[in-house]
Amino acid sequence: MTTAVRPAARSWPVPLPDSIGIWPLLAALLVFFMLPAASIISNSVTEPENAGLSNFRAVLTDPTFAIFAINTVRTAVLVSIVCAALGYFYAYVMYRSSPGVRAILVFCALLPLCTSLLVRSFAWTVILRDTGIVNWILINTGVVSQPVGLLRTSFAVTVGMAQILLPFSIFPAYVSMARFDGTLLRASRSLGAGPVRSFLEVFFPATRVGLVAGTVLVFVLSLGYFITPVLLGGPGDQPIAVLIDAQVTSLLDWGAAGAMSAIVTFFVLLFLAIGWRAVSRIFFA
Amino acid sequence: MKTSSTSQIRKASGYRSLVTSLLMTPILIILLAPSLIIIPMSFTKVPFLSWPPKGFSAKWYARLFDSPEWLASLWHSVEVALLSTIIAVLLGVPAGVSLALKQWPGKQFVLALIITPLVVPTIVVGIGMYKIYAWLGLFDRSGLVAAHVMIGVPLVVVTTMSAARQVNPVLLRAARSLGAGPVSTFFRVTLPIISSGVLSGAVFAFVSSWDEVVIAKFLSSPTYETAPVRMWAQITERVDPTVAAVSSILFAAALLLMISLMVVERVRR
Repeated sequence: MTTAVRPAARSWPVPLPDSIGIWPLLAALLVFFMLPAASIISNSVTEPENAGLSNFRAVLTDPTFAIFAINTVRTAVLVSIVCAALGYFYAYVMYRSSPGVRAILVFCALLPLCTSLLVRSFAWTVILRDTGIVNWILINTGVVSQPVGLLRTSFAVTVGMAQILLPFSIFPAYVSMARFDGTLLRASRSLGAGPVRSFLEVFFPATRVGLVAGTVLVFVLSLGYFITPVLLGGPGDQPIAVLIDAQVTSLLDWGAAGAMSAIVTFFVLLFLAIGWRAVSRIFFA
Repeated sequence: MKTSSTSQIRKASGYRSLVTSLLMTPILIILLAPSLIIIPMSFTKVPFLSWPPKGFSAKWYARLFDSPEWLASLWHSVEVALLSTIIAVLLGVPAGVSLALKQWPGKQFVLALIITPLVVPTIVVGIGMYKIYAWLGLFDRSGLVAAHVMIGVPLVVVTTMSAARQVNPVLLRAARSLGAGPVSTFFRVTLPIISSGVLSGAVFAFVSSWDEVVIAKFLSSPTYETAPVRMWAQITERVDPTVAAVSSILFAAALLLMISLMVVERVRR
């Protein structure tokens, strides 16, 4: 037996469970994250006292909330579609490039992550404003004579958020492509499928998991965006996050804030759960 | 016959690369423009941000470094980011190693739990922490550090996990059979192998704290602001090129960190 030849290990007097490494983190998560999140969500039924479900009833029948909810979903859907299309394409170009070009593309996709979300949103305000670079180009090339109002539009919010979230769809898509067995494509070509059919019936199904994982992440993250819509959007682009902020900072209505937080968090976790298989296959396998 | 078909293929791939570059150019511009535009804007002479920047002047940087409030906020950002990174590494590395190398039930659930701080909207997390941290007696620095540990630690766990997957379990069994205890095995075998994963996790955690504004907005006070919080207040009130100067500094710092990470990785390999 191997145990017989093992010298006496300098070990803890009591055997440690294999999961010991996880416990300090779980304890910290419980106190410093779960407790705050649970407390704000439980506010929905405890503020004011004995509120019951009255906060949910009030929020769900409030037309303002409906408008902000529609804004949130519309922006999230638009951003997810843009990121899915551009991210998958970008990843495909990376996959087909030589190692040198690929390294440059990786760097270009990582560079935005070095710039804070706040700085990038602020930069878009500088780019898109009436005296900004886009209008400067449009006017100097004679396309328009008057500046085009680009800032404070859904377009600005979509571009700004898509730029920030694009790396989240590029990398999962690329991971799934890098794992793809290239000989399958050659096999499909040699069996008579053309390049388009090989792509659609062999390559795409095998790499769809990366597309799904990235899109789920982008969608879930864009449901909670706050900074970018505030800086780039108009009154018709403001998401629920802004409404929650207003409940707490100006209306001091913790019950309504709690109910709205509960609703958004529920949908975030729901969509994450739906996409979890794809996400965990990309990130943890 | 043969030559014509190769030239056709060449022509087809020429069209393809033309279409590819036509599509890639706008994507690359959109990806890079916001990061790069701020730097020229920060050197403008005039007190407003319009394109093209007029003249060349470093006066907004001078104004920044003359302002005790901006300097204090930059220092607070460094302090919070460093402390929260250290704690995130201390909590995240054992967790990542345990998730990757040990067998125990409920891993998927625990993993999902660790990731949640990254996906739950920051506004929800922020107002929750605002309430509970006050009750726990965490203010200013301690509160910000605790909050930023929560958003940094998932990144450390994920990078540590992927590095720890590369560890050959035979090495660990060998160390144990040669008499090393679990602690000494961890420090002398596992840690050296996973150190580059730990390092990138630490850099990501640092950058995520360095950038974070929504939670920080709720946890900071007028006497203890981080640079992004002060910037946010400035942007929503009035904008002058000082904000562009701070942005350039934040960008340069994060970029320097990322590049040194890449260099370190290359040297080690």
